[in-house]
Amino acid sequence: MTLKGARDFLCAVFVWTAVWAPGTALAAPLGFDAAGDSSGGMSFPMLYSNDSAMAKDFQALAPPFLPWGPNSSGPFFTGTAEVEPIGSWYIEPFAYDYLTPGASSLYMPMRLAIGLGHNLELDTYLPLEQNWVGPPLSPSGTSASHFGVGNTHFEIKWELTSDGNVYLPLATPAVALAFDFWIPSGQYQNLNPQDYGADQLGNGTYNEAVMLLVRKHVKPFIFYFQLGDIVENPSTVGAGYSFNNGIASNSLANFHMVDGNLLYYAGAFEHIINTEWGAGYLLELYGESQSGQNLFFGPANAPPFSFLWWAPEVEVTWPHTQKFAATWGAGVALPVYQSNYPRTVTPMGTVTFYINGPFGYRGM
Amino acid sequence: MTITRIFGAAGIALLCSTGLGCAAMTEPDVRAYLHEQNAYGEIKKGELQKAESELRLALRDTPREPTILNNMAYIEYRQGHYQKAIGLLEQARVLRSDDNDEPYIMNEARILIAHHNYRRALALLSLIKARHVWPKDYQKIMAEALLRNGRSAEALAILLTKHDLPIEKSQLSNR
Repeated sequence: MTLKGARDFLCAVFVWTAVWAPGTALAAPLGFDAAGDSSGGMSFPMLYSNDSAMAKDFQALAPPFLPWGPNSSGPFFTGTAEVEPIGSWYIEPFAYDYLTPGASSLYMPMRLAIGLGHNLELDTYLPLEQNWVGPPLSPSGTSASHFGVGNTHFEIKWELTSDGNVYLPLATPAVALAFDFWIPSGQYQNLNPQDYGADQLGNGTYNEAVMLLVRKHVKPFIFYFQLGDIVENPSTVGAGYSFNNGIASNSLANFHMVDGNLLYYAGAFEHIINTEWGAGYLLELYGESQSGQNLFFGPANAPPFSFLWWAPEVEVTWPHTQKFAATWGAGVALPVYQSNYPRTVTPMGTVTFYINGPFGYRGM
Repeated sequence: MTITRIFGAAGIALLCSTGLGCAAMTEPDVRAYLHEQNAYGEIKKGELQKAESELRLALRDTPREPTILNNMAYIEYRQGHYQKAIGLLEQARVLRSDDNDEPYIMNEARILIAHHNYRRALALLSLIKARHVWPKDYQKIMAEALLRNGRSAEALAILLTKHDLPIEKSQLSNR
């Protein structure tokens, strides 16, 4: 017998006497007993008290998970309640070209989203803007354009629940709260009258908002909903400043402006026609409504307004691999209703570059 | 007028999604999955009759899903139909030729031993012995089968064997 063999034998004898031998102190806690050996051989401690006890461990099995979570571009105005997994991030340049009679504002926020873990996500939006103004907003035969950085926007998203069952409409939806902050990094003072307002790239206010986000999958459809309240802090603006309804402008120097409470509402219906390619279409509704009263700063002196748009959109995902995916979307927002707000048509486009971490694969 | 049209379209889309167009109505895999989920919930509550009818609905759509067969076997066995249970577990095992057959082998071995069919239980369990990873409780059941076949030295040896621990299989219930 080799040394190893002898050691194993001694070990086996030790285990036998110390652990399994009937009547020893350790035998009972381990659930062994010396019940009869029905095999008819030597008396041996049984692992189960009798044969029928074995059947009690017969296990029913949970159904194997059947996932559905296509990686699609999604809506343009309505947020997604689910957060990025930790270790995953994406960059999403948008382009919205707000077209009103005599003006075009190409608004291009560059979104960076990072999964923080603990059901949190950080989003930053750094917008570039290209404004153009022409007749009738400028004298006949004249126009102006200006390019620069708009207001910076940060968002912390906190996912409260995830979709309980992606096949059943009445299962728990994904719900999240988002806390948003805007910094007036876009130019809004010292405006050049020769630019007819094209050089105004922001509204000059620090804003805070709380948003409620809901998303529900019902394969092959996805429903989105977002409702938020935006508080715009007062700001001092100069002559030539355009209020955020895009129609009225200020003619006073050092005007202490107070915007009203701003309600943000959006919802979308998405139909995924091909899960693997994230191919489908969306119908989206989006609106804003600014009242005559600021929630914290009293009566507003900026004009109230409201509007509602609807937007048909299409989307596709290519390429789509385990580590990287790109989604593409395009659409146009069309006016349904507006009050004290210009009739606006908005062609839109976006591409999202997803860099997936170990927990971030999409497209199941 | 435009608003009416838009809300009308959204309403139709909502109705379609919750009814006719959704995968829960149109895709057999999804239908079966939902019935199987319901059945599993009923089993956990001890409602075997309800679970059985849900599983029969699931089987209509995916007759070759081993977990459905396993759970049907569970119900048959609890209702005293030993042979039917064995037959269903055999089917489940054959449908899973890879290492995912282990839950079905273990369950079949359990009821074979419970019905004193020791030799067949040992033959089944021996299919797992050569694998790198043994499922949870395998050593215990294998030792039991060996003892029942009068091979006590091998039973002791298998209990003393150090083997790779399995990754916890979340799908195993603790009933």
